[in-house]
Amino acid sequence: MNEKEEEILAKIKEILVDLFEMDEAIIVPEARLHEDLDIDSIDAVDLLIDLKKTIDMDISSEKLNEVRTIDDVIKVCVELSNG
Amino acid sequence: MKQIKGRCLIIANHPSLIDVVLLFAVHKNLNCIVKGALWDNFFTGSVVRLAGFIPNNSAGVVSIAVEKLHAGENLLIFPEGSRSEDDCKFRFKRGASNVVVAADVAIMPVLIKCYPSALKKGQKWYIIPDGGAGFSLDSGHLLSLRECIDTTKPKTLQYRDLTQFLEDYYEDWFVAGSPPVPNKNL
Repeated sequence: MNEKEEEILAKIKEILVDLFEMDEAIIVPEARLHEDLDIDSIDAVDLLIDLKKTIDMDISSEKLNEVRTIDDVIKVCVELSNG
Repeated sequence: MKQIKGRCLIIANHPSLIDVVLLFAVHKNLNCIVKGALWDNFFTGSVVRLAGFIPNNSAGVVSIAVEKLHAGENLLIFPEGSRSEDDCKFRFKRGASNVVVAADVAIMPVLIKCYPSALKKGQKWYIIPDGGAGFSLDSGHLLSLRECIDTTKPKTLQYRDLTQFLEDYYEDWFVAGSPPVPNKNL
């Protein structure tokens, strides 16, 4: 994982702890959003809105429909971010 | 339940196949979120379309629901998502809470009881107990969101808190026989 990806993971952790009172230890790249973390599509929208505050990215992209794991989220963020 | 005027989300447990029929008999101004598969069914498709119901598999179902509520409709959701497996255990999905938090409307909880049990999930609909089955519908108190949960928290936590609150509300209600009075101090 490169520096940028590490940075995004740290941000995702911070948001998940805030928004879902999640235990930081379970937020690992291979964790599945729905099955492991109990995040549904409506939660995902809230998560993305928060992510957009720090990472300048296009959150309307179709690619976001494909994400299944934390790692997918990180990869998509890197791809869609403009900075 | 008869007194509600609109802009209200009605939730009910779902013990039998004819719960919807019973609820619509009590209240005329109701919209309903319905299993999307009914849209594709030859027999039920035209009925649910004509009634203007909302399929649960459409994109933006929550925003459609919020729109209808703000336009003055009442909306019925069975938060269990499917018929109950066990009468006294309540496991709700978060969809109903998503709508209430997004629309900030009051909740009218309804408890349906069926005795002896008939038309349940896993039972054959044509096997009806001797003497027929009796149904009772009981309305709870009209609940505002603020009476149920802390609305200063992030929405994502409100969805979860409200779902938990409603599960506890129904379990208490089922055990005590009368609807719990919400704690106004929240």
